[in-house]
Amino acid sequence: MFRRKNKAGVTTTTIAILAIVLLIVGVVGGYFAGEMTGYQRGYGEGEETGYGTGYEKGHKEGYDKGYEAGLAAAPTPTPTPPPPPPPITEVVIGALYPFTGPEALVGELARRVIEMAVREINEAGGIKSLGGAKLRIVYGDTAAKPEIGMAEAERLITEEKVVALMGCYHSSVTLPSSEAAERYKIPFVNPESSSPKLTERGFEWFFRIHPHDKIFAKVHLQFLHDLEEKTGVDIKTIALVYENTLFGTTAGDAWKEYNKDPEIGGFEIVADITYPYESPDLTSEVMTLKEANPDVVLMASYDPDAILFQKTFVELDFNPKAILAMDSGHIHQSFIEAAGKYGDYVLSRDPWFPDVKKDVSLTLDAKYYELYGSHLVGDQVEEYTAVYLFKWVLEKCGSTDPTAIRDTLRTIEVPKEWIPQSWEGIKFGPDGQNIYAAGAIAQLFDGVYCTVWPWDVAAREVVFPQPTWDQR
Amino acid sequence: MALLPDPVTLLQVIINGLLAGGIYSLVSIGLTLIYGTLDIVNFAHGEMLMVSMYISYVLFTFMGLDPLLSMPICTFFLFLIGVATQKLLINPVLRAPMQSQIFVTFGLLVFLQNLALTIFSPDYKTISTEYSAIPIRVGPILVSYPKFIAFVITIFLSGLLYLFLQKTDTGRAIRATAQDREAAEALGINTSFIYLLTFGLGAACVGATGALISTYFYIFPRVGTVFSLTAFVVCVLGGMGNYVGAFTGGLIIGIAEAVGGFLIDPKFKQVVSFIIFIVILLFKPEGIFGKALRE
Amino acid sequence: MRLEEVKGVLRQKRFYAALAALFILFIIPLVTLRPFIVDIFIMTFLWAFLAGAWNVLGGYVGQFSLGPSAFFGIGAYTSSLLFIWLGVPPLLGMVVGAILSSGVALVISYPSFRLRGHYFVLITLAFAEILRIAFLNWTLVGGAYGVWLPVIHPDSLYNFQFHTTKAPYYYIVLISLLLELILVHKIEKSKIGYYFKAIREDEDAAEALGISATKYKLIAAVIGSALFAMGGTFFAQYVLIIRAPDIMTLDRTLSIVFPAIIGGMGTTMGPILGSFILTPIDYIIRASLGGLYRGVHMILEGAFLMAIVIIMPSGIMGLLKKTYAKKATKTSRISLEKGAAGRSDVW
Repeated sequence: MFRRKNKAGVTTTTIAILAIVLLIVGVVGGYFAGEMTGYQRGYGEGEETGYGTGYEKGHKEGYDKGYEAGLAAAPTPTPTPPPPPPPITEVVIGALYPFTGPEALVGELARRVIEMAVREINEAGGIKSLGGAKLRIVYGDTAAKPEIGMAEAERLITEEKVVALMGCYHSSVTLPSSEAAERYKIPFVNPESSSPKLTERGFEWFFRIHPHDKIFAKVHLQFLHDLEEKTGVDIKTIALVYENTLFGTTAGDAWKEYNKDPEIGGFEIVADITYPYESPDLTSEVMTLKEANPDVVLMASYDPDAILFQKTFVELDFNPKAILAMDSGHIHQSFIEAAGKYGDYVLSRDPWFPDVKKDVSLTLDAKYYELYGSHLVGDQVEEYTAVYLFKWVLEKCGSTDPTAIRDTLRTIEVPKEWIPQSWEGIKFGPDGQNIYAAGAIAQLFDGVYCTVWPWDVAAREVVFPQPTWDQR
Repeated sequence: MALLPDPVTLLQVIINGLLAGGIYSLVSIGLTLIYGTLDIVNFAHGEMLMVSMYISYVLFTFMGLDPLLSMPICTFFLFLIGVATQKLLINPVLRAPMQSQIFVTFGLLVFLQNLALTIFSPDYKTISTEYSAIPIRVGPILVSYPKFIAFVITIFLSGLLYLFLQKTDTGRAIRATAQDREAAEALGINTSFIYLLTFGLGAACVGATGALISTYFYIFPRVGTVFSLTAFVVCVLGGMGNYVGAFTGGLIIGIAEAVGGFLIDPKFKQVVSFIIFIVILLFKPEGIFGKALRE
Repeated sequence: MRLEEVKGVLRQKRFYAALAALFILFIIPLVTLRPFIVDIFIMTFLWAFLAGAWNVLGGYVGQFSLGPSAFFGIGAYTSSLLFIWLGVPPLLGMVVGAILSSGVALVISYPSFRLRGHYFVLITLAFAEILRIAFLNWTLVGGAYGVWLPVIHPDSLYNFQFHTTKAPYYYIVLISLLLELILVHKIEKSKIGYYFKAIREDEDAAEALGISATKYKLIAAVIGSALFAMGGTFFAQYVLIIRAPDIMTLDRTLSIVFPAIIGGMGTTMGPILGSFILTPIDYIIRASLGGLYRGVHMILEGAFLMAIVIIMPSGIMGLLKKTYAKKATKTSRISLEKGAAGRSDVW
C-alpha cells in the first residue's frame, strides 16, 4: 500500500517541485533580472544586454568588415594608407565585488555609488582629454571567494579588455585578484580593503586609497590619549574585544603592537577577548569584561556581533566609560537601528563621516540620502572616490594605455578640496599606499555619527565618559 | 579568563546559560521528535527556525504585530511547512536509499537559506519592541526581560507537548509509531497521517521558538545554522528520539556553553559543544538518557 | 590485458568516442586564446577530482562523510607551510599533505565507523567543524590570516607556480583526474570494490561473510582523504592564498558532494558528469549575468538537488544507464535496476 502511494507521490512531487521552482524563479528572477540588466547597461552609446553583444564589439566588427570591404572594393592594388584608429569613445574599467552569496549587500552598496559617480562624470562631459570619452564600468562578481575573484579579474582583463580594475572589499579576495592584475600589468585601485599586508608585497600596479588597520589602531590609541588630556578623565585600563576572522585579528594584533609603545599606547590591557564571529550568545564574554572592569573597550566587530554585544552590555549592565570601535559592524545601519538609544555615544573610527565639513562631502551624502533613504558609509565614499580618481588620472594622462594610467597614478597628487574625506589629499607612496589616508573618530548621537576628532575638524563636542544605560 | 569567579558572577553566568538553554530545548525537542518517529534527521531544522523568524519580522514591520502575538501564527505556519515537507520531500524518500534521505533535507537547507538571502538580503534585521532591552533586577542578578519571557513560554510549550505526547491518544499513537511502525500499523494506527503530524509538530516547535527569539536576536539568512548545530548536540546528548532527554539536554548545553565560555577562552566555546557531541556519539550514542541506538 | 581483451575494447564504439573526447580536452589550452575558458575547465576538473574522491567512501561504501573540506584544508595548509617554512617544493609537500591527511582520517574514522547512517554524517560534521575552528584560531598556521603564498617568477614545476600561462595547471589537474578515474575504475572492478559495495548494500551480511567492514571503510576513507589533500595543495598553488574560513567550510563540502550526487554516486563517471554540468554553469552565469541576483543560483541548485535525490537517486548516470539498458537485453536491465552493483563497465 505504501509503495503504490509512493509512485503517484513521485510524479506529484516532481510537478510540485518544478512548479514551485518555476514560480519562484519567475517572480524573483524575472523581476530582479530586469533590474540586473539595467545595471549592466553601460554608458556607451550602445546597450550591453549580455556578454558579447555589446555595441563595442559590434562597432569594431562592423568597422573591420567595412575596412576589408573598402580595401576589396579599391580599384587599384596601390596600398592605401591605413585609416586613423577609431576615436576612443569609452574607457572600460572593471569593478570586482560580491553580488551573490551572503556578502551580496557589500556589492549592492558599492554598485550604487559607483553608478552615481559614473553617471555624474559622464553627464559632465566624460573624459575631456580623451575627446569626451565616457566611463563604463563592467562588474565581476566575486562571491567573496578568493578563487572566483581571481578568475573574474582575469576575465575582465582578457575578455572585457578593461584598462584598470577596482575592488574587492574583502582583503582575502583582493589579494589574488590584484595578483592577476599585476601579472597582466593592469593598474588595480583598492578603495576599501584594510589588511596592511596588501601594500607590503612590493607590487607595482597596486594602489590603495583607504587607511589600513595598523593606521587605525594607532589612531585609536592616540585618540585615547587626547581624550584623557582634553577631559581630564583617567584612562588607565583598556579591554580588547575582536572577532576571530581576518578583520578582528588584524585589529587585535595592531592594537597590542602599538600599545607596547608608551608614546602611542601604554595602557594596561585587562582583557583580551577573541570571540567567534556570529556567536549566538555573548554573555560569557560580557561577564568576563564586567569582571575586568576596563575604562574603555576597544572593539572590532561585524554587524551581528556589534548588535548582540550592545544588547548584552545593557542586559548585564556593563558600563565602560567609552566604547571605541573599528567601524564595520558599528557604523552600519543595522547596528544603529538595532541599538537605538543604547547605541548613542559609541565612538568609531572611519575615513569619513556624513558630517565632514566639506561641500563635496555634504552634497554627496545629501544626494545619496535622497535616492536611498540612508546615509553613506565610509567604504562607499572610498568607492565613489576611486571612480573619480580614475577620471582625474585619465584626464591627466590623456590615454587609455594601462601603463600610462599606472604611471599617472604613481605621480598624481589629488588636492584635499576635491575629495569628500577629511584628508590632506591623495598621493601614493612607493608601496601603493595613500600617504594621506588618515582616520577620524566620530560619536553616535541620535542615530547619526558626528566627527569629534581630530579636534579641529570636529562637528560636535565629544561626550566622555558616556552616560550609563540607566541614565538614558 | 577568570581564575576563581565570585559566586554572584557565577550564578549570573549560570542563569544566562539556563535562559539560552530553554531555547535550545524547544528547538531540539522538535528535531528529536522527527527523528524518533521518522528516522530522518531534518538537516533543514535550523532553516525552518529562520523562516519563522522572518515571518515574525514581516508581521512586525508591515502590521506592527508584536512577536509574542504573532507567535501562534508563526507556529501554525511552520506546522504547515512541516507537513508539506513531509508530504512532498520525505514521503517519496522513505523507501529510497539512505543518501536520498540525508541529502533531501540538505537540499532544503540550501534552498531555504538562499531564498531568504534573495528576498530579504543578507542584512541583519532586528525587531525592537519597548521591552527589548530592559533587564529585570533580582538582587544582584540581571535577567533580560525578553529572554525571560521566551524562556517561560518555551518551558510552558515543552510541558504542553509532553502532556500531549503522554496523555492523549494521538500522542500515544505517535510514540507507538516511533517505537515500532509495523506494530503500530497492525494496531490500526494510520502511520502516514502520524508522519505528517509529527513533522508538522517538529516544525511547529521551531515556529514558536523563532517568533520568541526574534524579540531579542538578530535575523539573517544563516541564523539557522547557528542553532541547528547546537540542536544536534543536544539531541545526541539527550538521546535521539527522546524528547525529555532533549529538554534536559538543552538546559545542560546552555549552561555548559555559558560556563565554559566564561571560564575558558570564548574562542573555543563552540569546540566545547562539539567535543561533548563527539564523546557522547562514540561512547554512549544513545545519549545520557538513552533509548537504545536505533538503526 | 590480453590481446583478446584489447581487441574487444577496440571494437567498441565507446572507446573511440572516449578517445576523441580526451583528444579535444588535451588540445583545448593550445587552441583557445581565452584564459577564462581554460580557468573554467581547470575548476571543473578540480571539483570533478574532489567529487570523485568523495565518491569512493560515499558512493561505493555508502558512508557519507561531511569531512572533505577539512582534509582539503589539511592538504593545502601542509604543503603551503612546508614551502614557506622549509622551502619544500609543493609537489613533495603534496605527498606529505596526503600522508598527514590519511593519518588524521584514520584517527578520526576508526572510532566513527562504529556509527551508521545519520550518526556517521553528524560526527564527520562535528570533526570537520572542530578542525575548521582549530585552524582558524591557531596562530602558528596563520590563524585568521591564513597562509599567503609568495608569488614566484619565473614559472616552475618545482615551485608549482605558473603565471605566464595556465596551461601547466590545466594539464596537471586533467592528468590527475584521469589517473583518479583509472584508480577508481580499478577499485570498482577489484575485490576491494566488490567488498565496498557489499558493505554498502548490507553491512551486517558482509560482516557475516567474513568481510571486515571497518577495515575496508578505513581503506576507502584513507584513499578519499589523501585525494582531498592533493586537491587542496593544487588549489593552494593556484590561488596562492588559503584561509580556513574560505576553504574549510560546510559550504565547500557541499560543493564537492553535490556534483557527486547529481552526477551519480557509486559510478566512475558520475561525479565527473556532475561537475561538468554544475561548474561551467556556475561560471558562465556569473560571466554573462554578473551572477544571478543574490542567491537565486543556489536556490535552483538546492531545488535541483532535492529533485534529483527524490526522482533519480542514482543521479544522472543512473538515468543514462537505465536508458542505455533499455536497448540491451532484458536480463541486464533487471540487474541494473537492482542497484549499481550490476554489470560494471567503464562508465
